[in-house]
Amino acid sequence: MSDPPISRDTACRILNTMLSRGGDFAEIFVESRIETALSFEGETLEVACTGRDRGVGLRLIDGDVTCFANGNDLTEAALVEQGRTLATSLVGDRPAATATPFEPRDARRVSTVRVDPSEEPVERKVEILRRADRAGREYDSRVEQVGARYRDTLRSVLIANSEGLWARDEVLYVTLSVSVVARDGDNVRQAHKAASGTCGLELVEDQPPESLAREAARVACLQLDADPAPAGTFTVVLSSKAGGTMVHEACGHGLEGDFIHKGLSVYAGRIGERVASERVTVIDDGTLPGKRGSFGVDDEGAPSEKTVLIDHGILKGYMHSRETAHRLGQRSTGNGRRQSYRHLPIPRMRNTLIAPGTDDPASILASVEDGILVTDMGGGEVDIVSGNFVFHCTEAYRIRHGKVAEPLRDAILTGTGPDILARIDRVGSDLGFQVGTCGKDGQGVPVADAQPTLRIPEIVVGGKSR
Amino acid sequence: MRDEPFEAILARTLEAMRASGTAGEIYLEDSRQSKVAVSDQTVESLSDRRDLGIGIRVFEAGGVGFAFTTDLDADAVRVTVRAAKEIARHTGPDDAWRLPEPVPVEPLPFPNEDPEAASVSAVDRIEIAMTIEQAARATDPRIRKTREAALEDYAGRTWVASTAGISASYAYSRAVGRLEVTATEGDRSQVGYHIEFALGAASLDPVEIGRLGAIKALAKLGGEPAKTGRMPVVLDREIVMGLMDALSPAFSARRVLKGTSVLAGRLGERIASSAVRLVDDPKLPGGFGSAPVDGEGLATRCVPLIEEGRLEGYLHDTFSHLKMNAGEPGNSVRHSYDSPPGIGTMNLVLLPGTEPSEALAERACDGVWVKEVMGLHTVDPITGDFSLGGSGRRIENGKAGAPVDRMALSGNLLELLAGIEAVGSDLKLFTGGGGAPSVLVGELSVAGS
Repeated sequence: MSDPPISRDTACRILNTMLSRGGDFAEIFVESRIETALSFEGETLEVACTGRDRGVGLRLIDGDVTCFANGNDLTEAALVEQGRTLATSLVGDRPAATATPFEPRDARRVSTVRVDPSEEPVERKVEILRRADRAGREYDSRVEQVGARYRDTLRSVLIANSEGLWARDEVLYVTLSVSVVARDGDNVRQAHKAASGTCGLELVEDQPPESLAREAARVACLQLDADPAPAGTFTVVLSSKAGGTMVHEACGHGLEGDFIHKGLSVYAGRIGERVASERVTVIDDGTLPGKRGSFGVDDEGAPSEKTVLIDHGILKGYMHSRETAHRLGQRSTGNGRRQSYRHLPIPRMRNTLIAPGTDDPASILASVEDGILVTDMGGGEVDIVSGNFVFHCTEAYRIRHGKVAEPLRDAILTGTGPDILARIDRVGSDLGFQVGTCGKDGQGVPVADAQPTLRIPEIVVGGKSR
Repeated sequence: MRDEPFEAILARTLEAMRASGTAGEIYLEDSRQSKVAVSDQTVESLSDRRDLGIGIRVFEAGGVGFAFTTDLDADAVRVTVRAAKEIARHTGPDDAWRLPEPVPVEPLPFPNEDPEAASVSAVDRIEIAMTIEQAARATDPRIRKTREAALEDYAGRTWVASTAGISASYAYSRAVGRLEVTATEGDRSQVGYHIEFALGAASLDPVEIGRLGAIKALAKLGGEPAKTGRMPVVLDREIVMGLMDALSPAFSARRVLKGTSVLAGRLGERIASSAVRLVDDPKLPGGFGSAPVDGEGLATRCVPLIEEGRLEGYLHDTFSHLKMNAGEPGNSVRHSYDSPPGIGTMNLVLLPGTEPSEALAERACDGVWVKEVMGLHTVDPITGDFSLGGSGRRIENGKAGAPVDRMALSGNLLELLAGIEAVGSDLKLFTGGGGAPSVLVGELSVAGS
């Protein structure tokens, strides 16, 4: 790793300035983001963007009060001045506290990079998009428009705090996404596919642009022929291919420490209780190599880990940042994340999954006489307090007599988290991932979700067919 | 520490661009947000956020490149200009990628920042956030927990300057009060969320924010699934705003050019019921998104989008205007210094009708009154198809009845616009920029029990 953006001596002086009027905890978060983003649309490279964002966020905690300020100037004079301003925002003037000497720790590398995009010419990245564009257009004569987007982001962080923590991490993100619009007369449909990971350009070797584009084109064309989903209550099979939006919405958010310590979540105060079917084990794991939600240390310097949340239906734990852990007398689980140096860290998911079970995925499908098969999930949303959630199905089919029947479009599934988790009665032996950017309190962070093939005997499906 | 005025940075950079024969534009943003968050009558956090950065757009060899930096030192800005030129080579080429030409800009005919902002102290701001929460709790003993009661003050200035002679700048301020509280009855809880804004914190009514947040949470208690079927639906103004925002990308002329808009090729056609009049009005007094210039530094003006149900126009920037040889630029928007300008709305307004929302429910007779939806970000801007989760109240004999939740609402935005039977008089302006009244939709698909 390169030299730190500020020296340890400088960091120590800033922390001591922040604590000059008292306080329990002071922290410096320095972040640098270097990125390139390309967008290929209408058979041409339409947007090309590159840049550097670098700044610092200072956090001072005194009792229950958190004070925060950020800036872009990394000179010692500017940071000491900012630290002093922060110190004066504390109510009352108490004896100065001092920072503990640092015990440096470099984050364990969770993901490796084989092909560093910063060493590759822009032409190579444009060519990846051109390949996606071509494959999408060639897939079917009804394909009208292909949009392909590429982004690489190198994010480096340094966290130094008054408890002696000095941690650094560096994560490279590469994302390729393709959207396809298909038209048949007045009937227009679109589909979107994305690949993303904490890795280098080797992402496109594992998930070639052609296959992403063909997948998007296949789904867009399929939607042209799809019937509107029916409205009502159905048995639903969620294929492992569909990814994990359901687990993310139905229980992931409700297990985040901030909703727990305020007693807002339907899962608050229920450790040791049954909150899901005994077939359901839910894990949030920040240590999966190459996955989009992986990192070495979180944005408070806590090591990333594999956190078991629900074990065979029993609630085992929550996802914590330093602050929520502290308030509940627990330890941080390495879930304290922030979008950037402009934001306060809050508990967030990393790679969230329902662990595979023992049922044969094919037998799960065969077990359903009349129902709906979901093979791709789009976005979702949850109301933490009631536990009510929705998620959008971007590829779905009717199941008739245990077999996949006609395609359906525009379906959403809606239910209440604990209720749906309790109903899951078949859990497949497979596991499929999807990637996303999770939004909470105005902050977006990269995540992945996964699940095996699941059967839910009864859930409300929203569709518009009569 | 740097202390060079921003105007000097802009002038120096433009001079260097001109000297090297570069056609380019600089966008500089300096915005601050101060936030006080309280919970249980205790201050939780005091945060000061500053967004400061430069975005540079360079037009080179028929293409366009964009680069950004948060380092305003002369060397870093020079490197950024070079990066924009370098990456521009890979784009296009297209004749329509040209620097916008300067046009006269009128200042807004109303204040866009609060002259008293500086006089609101930290103590005053804490007091406002505390009052929001107190008012919520005072409304009803069933209001138990607070996710957050907060006051956010925004103030900033943006600059756009180009080698073609554009030099535009404006300042703004907004204060936002927000509340998220829960109401509990037995073992069931519901959350209520309310938000209001004004130019400055002193103009907010914290008691009203607290009361309305509490009322929203209380109203959701005891919700049962709705009947499944197609029925008349009253959409609360907040939902209408969300749906109009979801439709707004379809008005982008760039999307029309690419065939990724459901409104492509339909100019002049009837796309909505005759009750629908939709405009983007950047000069709306009191609008959250009001601004004298757009993201390219060009004068803004009110653009009619739908007039008595007919599609009147698209939103343009310089590129789409030149490419289509139609419309007027002025609808370029920037989300931040770190991304290139795109086309968007500043204050999207569905113009109000004459009937109060209660009259809409009376007309519906039997149906549902939707007060909240989930999943708005999943609306498909290319087809207009949507499926949303929702909650609200049953409408029985023209009156609001029992609460309903876990509803799934499905349809298509254009079919919904065509099915609007009446537009309410209760126009409200929202923090996303723009405003909407409630509407009555003749028939919508609802799924529940």
